[in-house]
Amino acid sequence: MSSPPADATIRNRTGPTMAWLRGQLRNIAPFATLLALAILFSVASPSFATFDNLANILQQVSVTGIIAVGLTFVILCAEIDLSVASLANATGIVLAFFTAQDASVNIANIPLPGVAAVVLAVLASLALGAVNAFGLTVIGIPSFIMTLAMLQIGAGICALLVRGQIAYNVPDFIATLGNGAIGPLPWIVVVAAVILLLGHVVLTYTRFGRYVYMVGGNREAAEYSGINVKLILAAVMLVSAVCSGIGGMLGVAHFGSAQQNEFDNYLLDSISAVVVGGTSLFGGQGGIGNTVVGLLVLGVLNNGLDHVRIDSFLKILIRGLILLLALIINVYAQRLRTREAAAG
Amino acid sequence: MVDISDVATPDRRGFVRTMTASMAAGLLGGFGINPAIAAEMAKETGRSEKPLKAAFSNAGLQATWCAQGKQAAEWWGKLFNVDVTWFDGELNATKQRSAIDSMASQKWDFVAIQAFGIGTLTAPVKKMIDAGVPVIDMDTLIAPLDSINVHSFLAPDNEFMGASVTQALVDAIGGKGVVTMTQGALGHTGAQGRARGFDSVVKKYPGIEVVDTTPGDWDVSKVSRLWETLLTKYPKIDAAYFHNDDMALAAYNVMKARGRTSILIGGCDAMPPALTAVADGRMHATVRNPSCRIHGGAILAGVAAVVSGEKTGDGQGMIPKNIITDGPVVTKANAPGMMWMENHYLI
Repeated sequence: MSSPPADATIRNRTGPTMAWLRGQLRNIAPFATLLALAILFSVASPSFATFDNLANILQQVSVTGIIAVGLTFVILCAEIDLSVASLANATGIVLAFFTAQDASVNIANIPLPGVAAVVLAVLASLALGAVNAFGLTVIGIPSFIMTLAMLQIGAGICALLVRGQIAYNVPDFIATLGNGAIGPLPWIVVVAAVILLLGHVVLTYTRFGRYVYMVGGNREAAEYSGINVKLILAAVMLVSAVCSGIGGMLGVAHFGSAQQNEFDNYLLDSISAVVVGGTSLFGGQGGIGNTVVGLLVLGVLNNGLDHVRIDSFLKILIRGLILLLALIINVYAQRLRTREAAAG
Repeated sequence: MVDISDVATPDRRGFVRTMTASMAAGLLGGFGINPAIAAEMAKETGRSEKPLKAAFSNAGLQATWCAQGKQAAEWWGKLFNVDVTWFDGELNATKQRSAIDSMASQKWDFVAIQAFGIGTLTAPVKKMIDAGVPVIDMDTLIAPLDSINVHSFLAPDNEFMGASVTQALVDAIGGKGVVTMTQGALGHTGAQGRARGFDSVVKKYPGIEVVDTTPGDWDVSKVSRLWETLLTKYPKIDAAYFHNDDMALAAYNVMKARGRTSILIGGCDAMPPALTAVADGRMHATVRNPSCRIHGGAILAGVAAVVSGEKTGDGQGMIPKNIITDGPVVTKANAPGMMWMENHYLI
């Protein structure tokens, strides 16, 4: 690493524009990646750049988007929630468990009115989130371990409720949100957009949002400033659990079935969306805007690879390499920022 | 899309003639015959001159059965002038749903899908069916057949497969002894059928004691852990039936490490490693789940639908809604022949 005076010399030599660009690298790089991918796939496949496919991409990232909102809060606090996908799956299964199923579905479920099923499912996600919050803030278990245990608990709840079977029905209201559309716009995209917007407003314009950034940016300083850090951490774990629960309910409706391990890939997808978008894994930097860009990068990448003729076995590797590139940029941007700060 | 009005009228015999000539044209092309002559032959037989575009997806190419199916589809596709594009399900229901959503936003002459999760692909598949694309369902139900109008469903009889291998095992141990069944994922219709087949046989033999039916969930590491426990718990096990060969071979490694190779092993799928294991005596028997026949059959069904306008139904010149694609039980006697047929994508 070069010394701060050397950095200052470089900054003076390259001018304020370059210094600003370096400072914004975390935000610019994901956007540039998104643009490059969109152009690349548009040129490579005539079926990619169509309105139909745009709706497709938005629909494909909606469940991830809802889950990623809660995860953004957690990661901004420099914590992690590995249970998001498991909680989403468990909540979706709880919802189906309390919904009347066809006679062919061999599950000993308890059919209730739709509203009651939704309320119970949301309460279940809140309760599981509360266990995460309790473990993290009261017992003092690191979030990585606590949520790893919750991942198992969620999977266990799924297994116990459906016992290897598949449930298909969810309340009509949720089925409409998961699978219906207002004209050409799928409801699930609207719900995801509203939750993303809500997350952005809370993080940007409320005291709670500022506390989240402060806790993630410098926890000691936040504590000395009188912020109840444990309360904020508990709150973000609850926000994450509820977002996962909503994502799970809509996901089950969207995919048309509730079954074990259905949401497994959403853990990596949602973490990738948050981090690829530019939110720092070390906390305090980023936000919902970054998550939106990250979601679109992942959505365009996954969707675009399905539109070009490419070896199926190569697709997974390409996806991994692009994600690695985005992460390298993320870490590099963090390092540049630290160096700039040290240089004064 | 191919204009069906430009091609021959639907007729099973005509279609077989078309296919035979097409295969010949393809093969002759491979031997250096002038493409113009091949095209002329194709025209004569009513075969589409331009390549057909087909989209395929199966549960996940990580699974050897699916990877073999892909090779078979591509091989048969080349013979029948079908350009196959693959959408990998990655052994994940939601990832496959995204892939099928992308598939549904493009144009295809026909589509063939093996669903990883039943019920998760219904919406995009219906969209393609509504757009007039023949959708062939392979191996696992996309949705119950009365709820979705697929062109045809090509699948093995899992109950038969489970019963036939269990019968081979029971015969080998003389109709009495301690037996286990290591199941696949309980939600999988294939695993459910194989379990029913197993039960239907063992219940006929009062001397058979089934001591364990724990699911291995198709997961070889889970099966290894499970079998370490089973071998400790049960000092005597005479035969073990597994819902697929991968799990059977994983358990064999544990048995070998514990010196318990006297346990007779039955598997399912008859993939090449299992055929070798049957041939050298590590496994007693397996049963062919004909990946090549299912995937290759999907190519044939799709081409017939597009080129000859073959419709779904039970009448003459139609394709049945449900086609059972059974394979035989494989023992030491027929393992080499099965290997040859698989190498040539025939079963």
